[in-house]
Amino acid sequence: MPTSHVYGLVAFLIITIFYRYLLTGFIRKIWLDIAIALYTIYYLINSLFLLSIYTYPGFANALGAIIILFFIILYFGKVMQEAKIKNLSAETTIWISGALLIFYSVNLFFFVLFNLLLEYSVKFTSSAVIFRIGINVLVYLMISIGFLKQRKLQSEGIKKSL
Amino acid sequence: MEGAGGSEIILVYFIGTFGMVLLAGAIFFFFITYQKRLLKKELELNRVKAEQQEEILRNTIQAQEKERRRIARDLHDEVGAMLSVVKLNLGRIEKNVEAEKPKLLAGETKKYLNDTITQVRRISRALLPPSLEKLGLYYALEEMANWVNKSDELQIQTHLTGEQFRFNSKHELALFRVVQEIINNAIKHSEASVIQLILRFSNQNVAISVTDNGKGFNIDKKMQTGLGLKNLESRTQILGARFKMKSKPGKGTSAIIYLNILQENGKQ
Repeated sequence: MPTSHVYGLVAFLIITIFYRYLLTGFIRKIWLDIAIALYTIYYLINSLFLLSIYTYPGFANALGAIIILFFIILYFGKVMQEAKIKNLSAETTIWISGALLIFYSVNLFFFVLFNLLLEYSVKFTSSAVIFRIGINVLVYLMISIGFLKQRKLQSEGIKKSL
Repeated sequence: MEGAGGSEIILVYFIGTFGMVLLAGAIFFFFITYQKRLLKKELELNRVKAEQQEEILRNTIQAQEKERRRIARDLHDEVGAMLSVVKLNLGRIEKNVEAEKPKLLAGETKKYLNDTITQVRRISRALLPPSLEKLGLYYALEEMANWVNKSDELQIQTHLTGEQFRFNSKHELALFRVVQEIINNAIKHSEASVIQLILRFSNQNVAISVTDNGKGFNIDKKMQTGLGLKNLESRTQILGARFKMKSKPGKGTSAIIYLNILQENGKQ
């Protein structure tokens, strides 16, 4: 369980900093910085002082998921407003955002209810975890496709520059 | 935990997760649909813009041709006729005058007049070659080449393969203008000594190749800065022809224009 505390915060920071970069020019960065900073402070206080390190930080992760989902929606808004991307399926960030949208939507209630579910039935929780693993496979597959697209774009760019 | 409370949690978990998946799917679907519609609109807008530009260019070319036709007719019918009358009168003066000095002056003036008549005829033919309408594209281009060859600055060698056939007169004129522009550019900028002009007529296809042995140029640079090449491309595009130009510094320039008459008629 202690690792889940560290993992939750690190994952949140990596993803939100990624979107902070993607949302440049669409929204004032100060609002994103405030959201990231407030959440980090809350998460640290929650993990260090309020919650036992052996308890899964379900609410904190759910709150993080809501913030990330909000960032993803903002990014989609930016893409729609700019209309610069001609081929959505060839864009890495669209694949990654789609994957994260699925991941955090599916897992939001899992985060919120994890401790209660575990208390109620270990068997059901195991089934929920297996379902979650299945979703994770889909998510990582989509992220991999996104990176493959990026590699293709880069190699095309190198060819062009040559 | 009590059984009823537990099943409620599971129900909340299922409904919540299902609801979130639906919501995420709806957001993603909306995003994709909206984006596609937006891009479709943008493509449509670009198409309309391109059509408008093509229309403007077509009208400009038409207006230019009309004006050229008018000037050519005026030069030939009025200025040319007047000059011929002046020449005739001058010949009579030259014959009738007995004093040596005026006779010499009349002779000299007649020589200048002949040059002027030739120049007027050349300008008139360049503006609208009569041979184009009467004899077709190859003969009009050959006539133009003959006029250029008279200058002795460079030679235009013309070749015809296949049997010349006639097609839409507007398109013949447009092709003539494109070749004329390429040759003018070669004369002005290439420092070439020989220009090869090859026309090939076959199975409803017309292919024209213009090659010079001049100094050549960097085509990518010229495409970015110059308007001439873009104009040539636009003109051939309106015509429904394909245009390709190749050039390298020190290696001359070659241009190929290809027109399929059936396709071009289909477009009309």
